[in-house]
Amino acid sequence: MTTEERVMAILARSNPVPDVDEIEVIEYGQPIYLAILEQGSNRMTDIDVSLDTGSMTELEEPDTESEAGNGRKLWWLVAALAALIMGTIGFLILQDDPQATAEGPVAPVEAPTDPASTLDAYIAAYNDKDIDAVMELFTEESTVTGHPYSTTGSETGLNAIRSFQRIDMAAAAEEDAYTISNVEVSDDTVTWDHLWLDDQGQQFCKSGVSATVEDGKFVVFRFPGGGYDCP
Amino acid sequence: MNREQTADAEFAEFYRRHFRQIYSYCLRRISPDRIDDAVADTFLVAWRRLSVVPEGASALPWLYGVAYKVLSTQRRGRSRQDALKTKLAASGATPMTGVEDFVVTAEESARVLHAMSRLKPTDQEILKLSVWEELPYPDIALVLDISPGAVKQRAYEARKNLTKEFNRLENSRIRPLIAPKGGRR
Repeated sequence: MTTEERVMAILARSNPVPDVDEIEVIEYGQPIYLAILEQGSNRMTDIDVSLDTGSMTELEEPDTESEAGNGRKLWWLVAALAALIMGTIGFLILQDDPQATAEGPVAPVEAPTDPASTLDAYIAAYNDKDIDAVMELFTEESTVTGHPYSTTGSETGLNAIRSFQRIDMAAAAEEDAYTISNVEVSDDTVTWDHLWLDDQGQQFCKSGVSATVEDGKFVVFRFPGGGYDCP
Repeated sequence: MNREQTADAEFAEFYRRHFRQIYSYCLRRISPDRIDDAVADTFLVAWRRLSVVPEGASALPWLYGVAYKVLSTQRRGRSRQDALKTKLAASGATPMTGVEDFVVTAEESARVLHAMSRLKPTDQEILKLSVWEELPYPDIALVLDISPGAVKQRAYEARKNLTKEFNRLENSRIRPLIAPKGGRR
């Protein structure tokens, strides 16, 4: 027996569960199965599959009674702040464009729709591990193809994208997990190369990742096939 | 039976067929207090995607792939040392024969698991899937979403590296026992 064979034999003997049949199936009526059925059937939008802990928990309902006072204060603060900002913006616009007063209201400032800006926002949100900010960049019609954490190859819709996006972010390094290079924009499509770091410090590279953007949101986000080896 | 009931029945059958394997898979990799959640999360994904779960023999590797991803997310924030302790505690389930055999086997198990923890996570997974779950390379490729050729190559490298690490640990274990005889500390 070679050393390698001996080591592999020891590894086989170290199997913590040598006989799978010894495991008792947790049947109907038991907590795991009930949790799956209950949480998987009708209330998917209310469920937060907590990927940090692996446990399934329902999203907490806000305590409206105890938070009502704070909510009202916050509302007034936001309203006052909005009025101040609007006033300042209006003043600056009128100063820059004297014709505005004569020709009616100025057209509203459009949100940036440059695909590269959307990509930048995605990278920033991803590296902040802010799943809500990431999902702001997708719509119910968005599709992600070829994502390494997708089990189907193509995912459409906010629930599906959020689900594996969370897995992805949870497995990423704490800081600067996602960096990009060679960014190119052509019409509504942005293409780039990325370097992704996992929480064990392993590097994964991918060239030719691309996304089509419309109104600042990803319509299609594509991970090309092939491996993730870095040069 | 309406469509919803049919889906429930299909899932119940799927769940019963694969529960033992998925539970064992988790038991081999994480501490017992985290297993229920991991198994539930794995089957929850299956429930959501019942329509795309492959049929026949590919269903189990697919489910292992889901479990692998679920456990990967749990790994964050937990030290490798914790995982090793769990594995060592769990390795008490290994069949033993006699006190002398027990001591040797426990040490060897500890050493091989320690050596394993020094490999890349994917290489560890390939070895475990191969040796503990007894999956063939094409099924491991399905679990990890890489090519069968890549699995074969990485398994080869992983076995070599595991052996190297094991030998290194074995030698470092022997050296302190011999040194005092020579009068050096």
